[in-house]
Amino acid sequence: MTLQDAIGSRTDVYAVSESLTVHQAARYLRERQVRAVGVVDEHGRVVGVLSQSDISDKIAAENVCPDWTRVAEMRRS
Amino acid sequence: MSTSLVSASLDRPVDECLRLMEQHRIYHLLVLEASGDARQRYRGMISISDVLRVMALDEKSRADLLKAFAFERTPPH
Repeated sequence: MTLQDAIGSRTDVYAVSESLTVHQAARYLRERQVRAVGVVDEHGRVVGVLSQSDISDKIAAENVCPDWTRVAEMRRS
Repeated sequence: MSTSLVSASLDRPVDECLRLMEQHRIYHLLVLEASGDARQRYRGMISISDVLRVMALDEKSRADLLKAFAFERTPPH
């Protein structure tokens, strides 16, 4: 049994651009009911993963405004 | 956003994916698919619950098969 079996016939691939604001990205996660999504740069390359816990830890818990912060600014190793 | 990307290809066995998540203490993996020009195409994210779901279904179908074999055969006359 491989990842192909786990992914099945899934046709939608979700990703957000790193230029989106955190507010926009959070809405994207909520609308699609997913907890994490790939982050792509301007060339469409995957540069990171954004999860609900990132938003909770780095934005909400730090009292950072999600509308003034871009996903790209949330980079951590 | 996490930029330490942990990924798996579509042909990776699901039990290996589970071990990979455990090693890195993460709940999601990037899924990549090899494309013709030696690059890898982003196919989305797989969560630990997706992986556990297919593993459980696989085990259940095996158990059902065994049950049918052991208990539901017509006794010989």
